[in-house]
Parts: sequence; C-alpha cells; structure tokens
Amino acid sequence: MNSIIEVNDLVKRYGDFTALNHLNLEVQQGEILGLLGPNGSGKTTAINCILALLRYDHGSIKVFDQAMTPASKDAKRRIGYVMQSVGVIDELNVRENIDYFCSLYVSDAKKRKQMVSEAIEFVGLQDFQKRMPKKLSGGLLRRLNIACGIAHKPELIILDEPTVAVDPQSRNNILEGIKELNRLGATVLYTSHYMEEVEQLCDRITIIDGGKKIAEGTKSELIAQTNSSEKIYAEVGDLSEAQLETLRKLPFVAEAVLNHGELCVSCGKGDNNLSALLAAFEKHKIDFGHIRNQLPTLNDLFLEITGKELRDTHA
Amino acid sequence: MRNYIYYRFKTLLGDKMMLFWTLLFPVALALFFSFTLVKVYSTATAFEAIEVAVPQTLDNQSILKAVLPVLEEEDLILVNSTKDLESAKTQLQDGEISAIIQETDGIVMTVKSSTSDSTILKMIFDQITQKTSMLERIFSQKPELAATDFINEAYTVETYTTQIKDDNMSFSVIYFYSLMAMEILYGIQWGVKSTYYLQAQRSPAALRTNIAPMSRLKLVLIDIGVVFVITAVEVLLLYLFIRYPLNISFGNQVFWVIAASLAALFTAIALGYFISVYLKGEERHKEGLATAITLTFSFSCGMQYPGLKYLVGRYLPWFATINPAYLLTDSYYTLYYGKAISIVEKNIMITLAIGVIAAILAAIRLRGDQYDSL
Ligand SMILES: Nc1ncnc2c1ncn2[C@@H]1O[C@H](COP(=O)(O)OP(=O)(O)OP(=O)(O)O)[C@@H](O)[C@H]1O
Ligand SMILES: [Mg+2]
Repeated sequence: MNSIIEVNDLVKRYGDFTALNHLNLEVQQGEILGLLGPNGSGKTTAINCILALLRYDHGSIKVFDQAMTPASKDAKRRIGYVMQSVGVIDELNVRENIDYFCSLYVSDAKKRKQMVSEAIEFVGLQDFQKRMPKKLSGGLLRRLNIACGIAHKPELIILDEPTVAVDPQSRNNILEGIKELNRLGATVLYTSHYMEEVEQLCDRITIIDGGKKIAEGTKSELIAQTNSSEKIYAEVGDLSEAQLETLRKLPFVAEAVLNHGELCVSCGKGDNNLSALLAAFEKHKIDFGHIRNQLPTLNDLFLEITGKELRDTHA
Repeated sequence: MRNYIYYRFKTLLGDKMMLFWTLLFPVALALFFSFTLVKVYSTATAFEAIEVAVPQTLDNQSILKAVLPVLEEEDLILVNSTKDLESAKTQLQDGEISAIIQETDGIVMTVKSSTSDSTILKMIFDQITQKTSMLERIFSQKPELAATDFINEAYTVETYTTQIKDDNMSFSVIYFYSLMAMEILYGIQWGVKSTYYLQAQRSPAALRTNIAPMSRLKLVLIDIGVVFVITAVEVLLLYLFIRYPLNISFGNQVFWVIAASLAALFTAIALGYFISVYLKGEERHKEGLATAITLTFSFSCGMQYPGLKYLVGRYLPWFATINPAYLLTDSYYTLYYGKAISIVEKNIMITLAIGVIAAILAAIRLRGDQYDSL
C-alpha cells in the first residue's frame, strides 16, 4: 500500500524541551489514521512539522512520496488542514472566509464558487453564510473552521482535534462528514485525545505519549495487546466471602471483588466469559440483578504502557 | 489573485476602530486645531496699538525719542499725553494703559501684570536695546556709517510686525504639518496589522495562509501594496481637508510635498513590518509599541508643543535625523518658506534610507519560511 505521509525518526525540541522524541508515523493511502495521545503529547507539533511550518532537529518527512519542504507547492495544494485553534478572519463573513482560503488554492472563480457552496453545505452552514465569525456560536465556528480547511477538496485531510467544544450532535455530524470525505477518496489523519472518537472513526490508530509512538494498529490489534480483558459487572446484593472465593477459583476469572453490592469480575483472555459466569451463578445459586460487561479499551492499553490514564472524558 | 487582493482590502478596512483612529481622529484634530488656532491668528492680525505712557521729557539723544514716533506710525503703540509719573501709575492701575515706558540708562518698562500686550512690548524694546548697543559699538569703530541710511534701516519697525504675524502663522502650520506626519506614521500601525494574517505564529488564520501553496514573498508584496494604497488615500484625504476647507498652505511646490509624504509613508510602513517581525510577544504589545513610536515621533516634531521641534533639533540632532516625522515636517516647513529644495532632497534621502534598512531587515526575517516555534 502507498504511504501518503511518512515520518521517520522525527525529533523536535523547543529550547531544552523535547516535544517529539524519535517519532515514527505512517499514513497510508485511503485510510483514516487516528493519532491518539494525551494533552501535550506532541500531536500538534508533529502536524506542524509535517506541514513544513516548524523546523525540526532530526529526522525526515515525506508527503506524497516527496520530501516535504516549505517550497513543496504541489504537495501543499493537495493537503487540507483543520486546525485545533479556529483560524478564520474576523473581518470576513462565513462565505467570504471560505472563499478567501479557497482562493489560495483555486484561482478559477467559477470552480471556486461551486467548491465554496459545497463546503458550506457539507458543514451545514447554509443559513449562516452572511454571519461574521464573532457572531457564531462555538460549535458553528468549529464547522466554519472545518469548511475553510477542506473547501479546496484536498486528497489528504489533516484534522487536529476538530471536535473540541462541539456538542454531541454536531460532533456526530462532523465525524460522519469525515467518513464521507474518506469514502469519496480522501486520506485522513485525525488527531484527538478522545479515545471513543478515534475508536469510532479510524481504520488504524497510532498512540503517542511524550513525543514517542507507544503503540500502533487497528483497534482490535491494539486491544489484543492488552493483558487485561473483559470485565463483567453484576448486581448481586450480598455475597459471602466463601462464595467470592469459589468465583475466584473459576478458571476464566482473574479477579473478583465486591463493591457496594456490585460484583466486578475481571476475566482472563478468551471468549464466552459472560455465559461461563452466568452458568457459575446458576450452579452456586447466586442471585443477580442488572448485569453488564465491558471489553478492554485503549485506555487500558495506555494505562498498562505508560502507567497513567489517557484522559478521555468528553467535557 | 484579484480575489485575494479584494479580500485583503476588505479585511484591513474591516477594522472600524483602526479607520476611526487613523482617519476620523486626525480630521477631528485638524478641525479642533483650526478652531483654536485661527482664533489666535485673527487676534494677531487685528492688532490694536498698545496704549502706553511716557511720563518724562525726552531729549534729543534719547533712544525713545527716535523710536517712539516710528512705533506709533506703525500702529504698534499709542503714546498718551500724560507727562506726570503719578497719574501714569494710576492709569496703569486702572487698566487705561498697558505700560509705562521710561528711559534712564536704558529703557525701563513697568507693567501691571504679564499680558500678551506686555510680552509684545517687551519683545520690541528688548530688540531696540540690543540693536542700540550693537549700533553704538559699530559707530564707535566706524563713525562714518552714522551719516548713512544705516541707522534708519536698523530701526525699521516692519520687522517686528511681520515677525509677530509670522510667528503666529508658523505656530499654526506646524500643528497641521505634524498632524500630517502623525497620519503618515500611522503607516506603522497598518504595517503591524497587515502582518497579523501573514505570520504563522501571530494568528491561526495566518498559519492557515502559510500552509497554502503560495509564496510568502508574493503575499507580503501584495500586502505592502494594499497597505500603501489604503494609507496613501487616508493621507490624501487629510491633506485635502487641511489644504482646502482649512486653507493651510503647503507652499507652491506640490511635487515635493507629495514626494516627501510618500517617502515618509514608505518608511512608516517598513517600520511597521520591522516591528511586527522582530518584536516577540503578544499582539497588544506590538500595537502598543507602534502607537508609542507614532506618538513619540509626532510629539517630538511639534504636535503638542511647537517649541519642542526646535529643542529637539538643537539638543537631540541625532534623534531628529532618524525621526521620519521630524524630517517630514522639516521638509514641509522648508517648502512653505520656499527655501532650498536641497534640504527637502536630503530629508527624503535620509527617510528612504531608514525605510529601506527597515524593509530589508524585515524581509530577511519574513522570508524564512519555517518557524522554530509557533
Ligand atoms: N512554542 C512552544 N514552545 C515551547 N514548548 C511548546 C511550544 N509548543 C508546544 N510546546 C510543548 O510541546 C509539547 C507538545 O505540544 P503539542 O501542542 O504538540 O501537544 P498536543 O499533543 O497537540 O496537545 P493538545 O492535546 O493539548 O493539543 C507540550 O508539552 C507543549 O507544552
Ligand atoms: Mg494539539
């Protein structure tokens, strides 16, 4: 498969601080790659290096199979960037903003007009074309930010946490939109520290921390790398210590604890844990109410590798 | 490209505050100056003879005997008939006269309080005393001159009258000239503003512009052109306002007025680019510095206090030479008095040199396509 972005052994320092520490990253043609990492892990820095905005200390970057430099006009023409901070011009209205940035890529006025209209429709800002950015709500502003980045129909779209401060419904619209762009042929590099978002959207995921890649693969490949596996929670009321001990002795159970009437069973690797546990409840005459299971998440993987949580709460 | 230029105009002109401060404010200031200064000026032209008393009999050797008739003829003073010192003092107390003039060893002037009349009288008699002592020295060395017209010419009072009027005139023009200088120096502000959307580290929108397949140099050159047009129109509007409705003369050499103005404008914009490229930190610091420079430069060329122009020229000549506003008002002044064009040429050369240096230094920084940090 063709690599669209190839980052090799990239080192970037801000003074004494090393923001990227021998980072390797690859984005393949046609995929949506999720770049997942906590705040300050170097996601934005990596992107700015890829876009040849930042000087770096070591390593190489190829985009569309060519070394990326500030003079790589051809590559730049094919890239669209949706920034983490909203980059629009306050003095221009919604439509003018999109047209302005599009005009840096497309000089044919008629073609551009069409593209701008499509971008407006894509982000659903039809009713706000004449609004000034200052008069847009945070979510609408984010949508404008996205439209400005993709109006010129780039082959490679880089999105840096585009959904921060967007309500859940708009967030879903945006994620659907990105999938749609991908279906239409765009390769996507999607950056986020929201685990669920990346799980939902991306074909492959690269997890970074401290400017370094710590894991990579499809979601299931990554999950398979964790030592922990399924957790099953069941409302059981009261259990005797003896009953707990029997459960712990079951072959598929790694650990069982009772917490305020809720039993949490951490299972070992393997399938059919839930039905095996239900059978055990039956056999040992344990009554249970509500029951749910939770598969291991990327957070578990992150926790295992780095010893800290990947912060993952949607504000 | 046309589209891009159109949006650059729209963006820069979209800042209403900026337009207010760089266009309406100077126009309002010009109007304000004209109201206050025209009043001063008209009192000076409708000059009424100052009434004085000379309570003594003057002998033929006295200076006053020689000059009083001339001053009266010029309607500068009016000597009343009082010959008695006590009644003259009463008149002074009652405000009927402005001063008592006496001659003993030299000329002594008694006034009730310091007024504009007493200032003018003091100026006149000071100069007469100076000239007299000068003439005495000349005659003691070259007695033959005494017989010629020399003495008459030396005492021609016309010089005083024109000086009084001239001083008022130059007082008012210098306000308007430094107002023009301030307007032109607003080019610094415009330069700082223009790069806000060009330098990736200054705004996210600039960052977006920087990843587009466009050469930065091209974008910068377009912006310099756009800013130049905007500021030139502003300057022209202010000029026309000062020149016509307010009727302030800039002399007859319009070409040189324009040349000096454009040179200063170029330098101001270049300084704006220079500041925005070399000064790190927050936007408001850049804007603050731009404002401070504009005001310092125009202040020291006499905006607040015309005398300052001379003080700066005398005691801080190096500052005067690097202050585009000073150089510009100096050129306007030179043109107004119809003095040598070579002074104007020199001012323009220095101004352009400063501008070119600032522009080159700014270009060196702006040309670097990548940043160490954003
Ligand atoms: N201009 C700069 N000067 C110094 N340090 C910087 C600069 N920009 C970023 N850093 C540091 O580099 C590290 C990586 O920053 P970066 O913005 O790339 O992180 P990020 O993964 O995008 O984080 P976030 O999720 O918060 O956007 C951070 O620790 C940050 O403090
Ligand atoms: Mg970031």
